[in-house]
Amino acid sequence: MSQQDRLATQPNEDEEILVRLRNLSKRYGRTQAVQALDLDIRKGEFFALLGPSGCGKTTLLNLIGGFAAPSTGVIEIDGRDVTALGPERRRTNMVFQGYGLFPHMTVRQNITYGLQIAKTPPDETKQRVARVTSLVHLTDLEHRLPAELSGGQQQRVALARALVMEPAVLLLDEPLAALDLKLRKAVQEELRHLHRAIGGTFMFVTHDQTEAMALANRIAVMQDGRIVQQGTPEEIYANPASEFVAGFIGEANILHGRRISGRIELDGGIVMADKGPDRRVIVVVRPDDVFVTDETTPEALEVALPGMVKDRIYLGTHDSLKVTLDCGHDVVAYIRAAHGADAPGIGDRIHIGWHTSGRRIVEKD
Amino acid sequence: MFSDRSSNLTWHLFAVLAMVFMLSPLVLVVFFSFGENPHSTLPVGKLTLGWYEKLFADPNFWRALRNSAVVTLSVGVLSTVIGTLAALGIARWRATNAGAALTVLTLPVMMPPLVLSLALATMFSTFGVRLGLHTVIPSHLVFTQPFVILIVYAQMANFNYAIIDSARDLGASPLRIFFSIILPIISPTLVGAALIAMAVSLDDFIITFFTIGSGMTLPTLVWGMLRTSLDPSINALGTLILAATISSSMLALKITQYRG
Amino acid sequence: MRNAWRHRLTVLPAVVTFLFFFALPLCFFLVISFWHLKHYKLVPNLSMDNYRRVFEQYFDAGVFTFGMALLIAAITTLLAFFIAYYIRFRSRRFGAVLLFVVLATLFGGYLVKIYAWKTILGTQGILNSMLGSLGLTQEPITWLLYSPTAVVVTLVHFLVPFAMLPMYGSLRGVDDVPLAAARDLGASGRRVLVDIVLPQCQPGLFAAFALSFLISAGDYVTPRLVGGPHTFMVGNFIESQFVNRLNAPIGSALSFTILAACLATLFAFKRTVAHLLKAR
Repeated sequence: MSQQDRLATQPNEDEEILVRLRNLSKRYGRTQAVQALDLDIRKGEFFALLGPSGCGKTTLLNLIGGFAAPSTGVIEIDGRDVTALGPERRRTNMVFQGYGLFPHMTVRQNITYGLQIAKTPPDETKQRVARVTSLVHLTDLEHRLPAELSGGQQQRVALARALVMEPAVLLLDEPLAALDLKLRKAVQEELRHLHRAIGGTFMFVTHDQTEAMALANRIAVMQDGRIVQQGTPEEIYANPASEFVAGFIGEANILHGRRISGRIELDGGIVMADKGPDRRVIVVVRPDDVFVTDETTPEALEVALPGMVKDRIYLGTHDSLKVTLDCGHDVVAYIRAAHGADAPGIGDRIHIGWHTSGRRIVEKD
Repeated sequence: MFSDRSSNLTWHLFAVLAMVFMLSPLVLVVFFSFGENPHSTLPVGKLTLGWYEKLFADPNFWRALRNSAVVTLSVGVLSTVIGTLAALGIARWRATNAGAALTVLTLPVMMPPLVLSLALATMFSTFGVRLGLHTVIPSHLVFTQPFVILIVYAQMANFNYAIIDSARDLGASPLRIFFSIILPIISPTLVGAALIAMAVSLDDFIITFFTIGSGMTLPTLVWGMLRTSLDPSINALGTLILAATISSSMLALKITQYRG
Repeated sequence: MRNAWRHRLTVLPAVVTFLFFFALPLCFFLVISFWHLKHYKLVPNLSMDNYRRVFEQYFDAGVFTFGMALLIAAITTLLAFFIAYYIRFRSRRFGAVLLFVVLATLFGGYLVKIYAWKTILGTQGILNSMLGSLGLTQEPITWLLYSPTAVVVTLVHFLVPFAMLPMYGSLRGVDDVPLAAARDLGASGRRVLVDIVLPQCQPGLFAAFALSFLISAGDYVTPRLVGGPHTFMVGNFIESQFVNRLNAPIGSALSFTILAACLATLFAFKRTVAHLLKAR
C-alpha cells in the first residue's frame, strides 16, 4: 500500500492492529518505568495514554517512538518487529513536548527536513508540504523562524513536520501542556479535525483527564508502569476498574467500606445491598449522581443521609456543594444553578442520596 | 536520547583518552619532582624531596617568588576592583552597546601576547619609562580585567534589580546600596573572578618577560632554567606553579559554580 | 540621566587601562612599522620599506607559520568540540569530571606544560620508552621532539582548555529535543550533528578557532623550546628582530602583517563555515 493510499484510507478497519506491545518493560537503574505491559492499538484510533506524572506514560511513548530501548518485550508496528530499530527507522513520528523545532531553520525548512533526508523527489516534496501546511494553516508563515512564532503556531509547525512524513502512527507527547486554556480548546478541536481529515492513527500522552476524554476514542490509564484500565472514555468514566481510576477520571466521591454477606457497610453505618464475596470495597459516586432531598426516606433513592452544607461554590452551569455527613464522610454534590433561590446554603441541614444506578462498587485491591 | 551501545563505547574511550592527554603531562611533572632520577625519564627512582630542598636553597627562587607574589596580588586586587566596576556599569547598558563594549574590552585576551608585549615594551622604552614590577602590573591588568568583567557581567545579567529599587525605595543611598546589597550578593563571584585573574597573572610569561626589565618572576625563572641547563628542580618549581594556579582555578570554579 | 552617567563612569577605569596599555601601545607600535632604524635609534618616517622587506625575507616563514597555525587551530577546535560534545550529550558523571579537569588546568603552567611535553616526547622520553618496552618500536622515534609535530602537540594541549570555554558554552545552549526530533524524522547520528548541532554552535566554533589560531600564529616560546633548529615560526623572527637586532620597526611590520593576514583568514573561515552550515 503506498503512502498516498494509506492516507486516504478511512479508519473503518477497526480490527486491524497497528501497534502491538508484548511483555514490554523498561528499567532505569532501580526504577521500573514500564512493567511487563501488553497493549494493542488499532488502525485509525485516537489513543490516549493517561496517567499522573511518573506513571511511565512518556517512557512508553518513547519506547514506541524508538527513543529508548526496552529492557524486555517486543514492539510491532504494522506487523513488523521494530524493537531493535532506532527512531529514524520506524514509521512513527513524534510531536515533542516543547515541540523541538530546529531553531536555525525556517518553518518550511523544518517541515521539509524529514523529506530531504528520505530523498523525496522535489515535486512530491512540494505537494506534500503544500498540503500539510494548508491543513495546519501555516501557509503564510513558511519563511519565519520558530522564535518568531507564537506557541500555538510553533505547535502547528511541529505537527506539520511530523504529519508530512505520513507516519503509520503519530505520537504526541503532552500536546497541549504548554498552551493557555483558550488556545488549548482551539488546538483540541484542530487535532480532532486533523485526525478525521487524514484518517491516521494518533497516540498521545497526557496527565489531564479532560484532555484525554475530549480527544481520544480509546484511553489507557497508567499507574506505576502498568495499564490499569483501557476502554472508551464512556466506559472508563462509567465503570472505573479501581479506586485509582475512579479518582483520576472525573470527580468522584469515594467512600470506604466492606461487603458482608450481600450488604455493603460503610463506616458510620450506611448500608446498601450488593451481592458478591465478602471483602473491602469502595463505593464510587459521581457528584452529578448525588441528589439533595429533604425527605428522610425517599422512594427512588437508595440511601438518604443527613448532613450539613459546609461550602458552596458557584460554577456557572452548576453549583458544587460540599456536604459533611453526620457519619463523618465528606460528599460533593452538583446541583443545578437554576434552583439557586431555594437551594441550600452554607450551614443548612439537608439529606443527600443517590440511585442504585448512580453508584459503582469497586473491590479494593 | 541515543542508545547505540557500540558508539557509546567509542565515545567513552575517546573521553578517557582526552583525559589522559590533558592530564598526563601535568601528572608527570609532579611525579618527577618527587623522584631521584635527575633526567626526568623513567624509572622515576626513589622518593625524594631533594629537588624541593635544592629549589628552596636558591636565592633566585625567593626573589622570583616575592616578585610573583607582589604582581599577582596587585593584579588580583586591581583587576577585581576595576573589572567589577566596569561590569556593574555595562550590565545596566542596552544589550547591543553592552555586547560591543564587552567585545572591545576582551580584545587583549585574543591578541597574541608577543605582539602586545612588544608594543608595550616599545612604548615604555620610547617614553623613557623604567621597566620593573610597576610596568608589569598594568600590563597584566589589561588582559586579566576582561576575565573579571565577563564573569561579573554574567552574574549581573541575571541580577534582580527589583532588590535595588526596593532598597532605594527604603531610602538607601547608592553607595549604601552597593555595600549593603550588591556586594554581599556578588561577593562569591568576585572572589572567584579574583582567583582567575590571579591565576592568569601568575602564569604569564611572555608579557612579564618583556615588561619586567631585569627582574624575575616564577615563570621567568622557569624560562631561565629551561634555557640554561636541564635543572631537575624545574619539576619542583613547575609543581609549585601548577599547584598554585590549579588550586586557585578549582577554588574559583567551586565558588562561582561555573560549569562551562 | 544621573544614573546613566554613573553607569558610564564606573566603566572608566577599565577603559583607561584598555586605552593606555592596549590601544595606545598598539597604535604606537603600528606607527613604528613605518619608521626606520638609524644607529639603533628610531627615526620617524612614512615608508613601506619594512613591509617590503617582510615580504621579501619572511614570506616562506609566514606561509609555514600559517600552515602550522591552521593545523593547530583545526585540531584544537575539533578536539575541543568533541570533548564538549561528549560532556554535553554523552555522559553525565564522567563528563562533569572531564569538564572540571579541563577548566582547572586552564590557567596553569604555560611553560611547565611545554617543558612536560619535552620530557614526554624526547628520545629518552616517556612515550618512546613506553613504546619500546611494549615492543612496538625497535628504536626511539626521533621526530617526536624538536620537530613541527612537537609544536603541534604542545600547542594543541595548551589551547584545548581555552577553546573548550566558548565551545561548551554554545553547546550548552543547544536543546536536546530538536536532536531527538531530527532522529525521529530519519536523520542518522552524523546528519543530526551536521544539520542540527553544528549550525547552532557556530559562535562557539568560531571563537574556539579564532583564539587558537591567533595564539598559535603568534607564539614563539613553543617552537623555540620544542620545535628544534628548523622550526622557525614568525613569532621567533619577530622576537629575534626585536631582542637580538633591536629592530623594532621590522618586528612591528612583521607583527602587523601576520595580524592582518590572521584577521583575513578568520573572516574567510567565518564566511566558509556559515556557508557550509547554512540550512537548505
